[in-house]
Amino acid sequence: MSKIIVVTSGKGGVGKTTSTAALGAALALEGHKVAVVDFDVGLRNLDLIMGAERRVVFDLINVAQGDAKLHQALIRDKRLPNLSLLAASQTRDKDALTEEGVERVIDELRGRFDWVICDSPAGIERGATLAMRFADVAVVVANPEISSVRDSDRIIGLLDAKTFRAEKGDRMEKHLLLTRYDPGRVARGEMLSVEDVLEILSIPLLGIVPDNEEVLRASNVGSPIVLHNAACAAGRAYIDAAKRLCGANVPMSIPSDQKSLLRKLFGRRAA
Amino acid sequence: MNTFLVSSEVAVTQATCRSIRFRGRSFEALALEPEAPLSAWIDRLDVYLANFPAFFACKPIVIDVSNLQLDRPGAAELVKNLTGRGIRIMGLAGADPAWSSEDLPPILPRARAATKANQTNVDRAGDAGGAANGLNASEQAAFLEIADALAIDGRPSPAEPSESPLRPNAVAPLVVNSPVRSGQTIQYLEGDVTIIGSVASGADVIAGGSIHIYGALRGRAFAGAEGEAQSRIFCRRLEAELLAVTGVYLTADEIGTNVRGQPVQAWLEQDNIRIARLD
Repeated sequence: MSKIIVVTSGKGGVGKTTSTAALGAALALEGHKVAVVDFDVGLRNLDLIMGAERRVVFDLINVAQGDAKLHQALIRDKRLPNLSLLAASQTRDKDALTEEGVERVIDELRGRFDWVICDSPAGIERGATLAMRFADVAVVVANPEISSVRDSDRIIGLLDAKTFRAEKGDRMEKHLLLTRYDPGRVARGEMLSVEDVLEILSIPLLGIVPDNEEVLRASNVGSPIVLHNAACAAGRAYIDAAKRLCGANVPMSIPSDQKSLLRKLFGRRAA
Repeated sequence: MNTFLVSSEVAVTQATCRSIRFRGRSFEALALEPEAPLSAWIDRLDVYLANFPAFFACKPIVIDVSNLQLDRPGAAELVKNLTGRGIRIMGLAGADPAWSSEDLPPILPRARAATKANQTNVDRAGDAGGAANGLNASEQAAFLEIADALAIDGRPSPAEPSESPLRPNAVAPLVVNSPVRSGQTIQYLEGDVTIIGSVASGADVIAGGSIHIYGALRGRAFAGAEGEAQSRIFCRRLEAELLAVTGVYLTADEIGTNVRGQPVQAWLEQDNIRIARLD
């Protein structure tokens, strides 16, 4: 039974594309067949993060409009053969997407993959509503700051109103992925705490991804963070989040790169 | 005859603040409901006016023509007839807004759905001393008599006793079982709104009656949106962007720090919003 996930946030720059790539790669590492789909038509980024920008020939618009076959447009990842990318068009705009076209592409993807992860554009307009339209599960990405949390709240409202599932009267499964979390700044009161965000949004927590330098490094080299450095704090957070998506019961923690006191004391054995 | 809630008030504020205040407010007025055939109704009215000549003097009277198939000249004729009998008409209800002109009283945009409920309110007010309507005992008796006389022809008599003389609250409240998300608006002008969950920043809750929030209020709450001054706002935790009762409002800046984050209620008192902790 395949599942369609939309990664959405309302606000821009919170880490939707990074999270899409990381969750897609983490699920693929678990052995699932995964497709990641870029819905940010006109401002595509997912191909860069996935390191596939030089191999894009056909895109989502071409398939949605029937100008290309799905198998022609899917780009298979070089590192993980069970991970594929459907890129967005950079030259078109979001009006080129139609609901019928998107539905047809999603239906076809459903038949081929275990997980289809749709990277939503920022905002609440056509691109974002079409990305969430046929989703079964939503991963709402938020940073621990008020503007991001309020925008996420708005998106949750739309998920409960504008999606196909919600219109049928079914429950839309929603998870919160808290990214760019800095425990030090939370302790100093400069960021909202996990409890604050959960209290405002009142949806279950999928994971807490710490603010991590490795994330930028990974995107610069065109690699999902879990493939670039699975051992770093952010990589571990995404791997745990992907396990939770599959239904595994992984205890919630805030992964950290800081060495424990014991490790510091016994850093290295003398030669 | 029944009470009628009208809105519109103009208040000129002190010279310190140069703006002019306009506010929708509700007042009680007597609504006369003429019935067809009009000539017979006016005859009946004349009989009672002969007995109580000053009954309508200096009272706020609204003419409700919604039960009459009147055209504009007909309405003007009726107004002239009533004015000639010493009835000063403050407004015309149930008339086509397009008729608005100099020779007709101001057309009131909409009557409240709950007129039937309010009907009994006035008629039974005699039991409560009649002071609620500003009528003395003899006027109240006359009022009831006129009401009985005018409401014949098989229509339900407005003098039917009601279960609860004060504000019968027959309207079901709206209960929302989920959090109200940013960007959403819950509007229920018919009565109270109860929300099991929080109201997010950027969400609006608009109620004709009171608003009860079993969660944090971070958005805006408008109670008594149709002028019901007894409406209140209750919440488990006050983080509101704005609180309003009958259009009188407080912004977040004006809400004291002593009540922020607390379980509170807010109500209207002498044109001001008062907020008090609930615990």
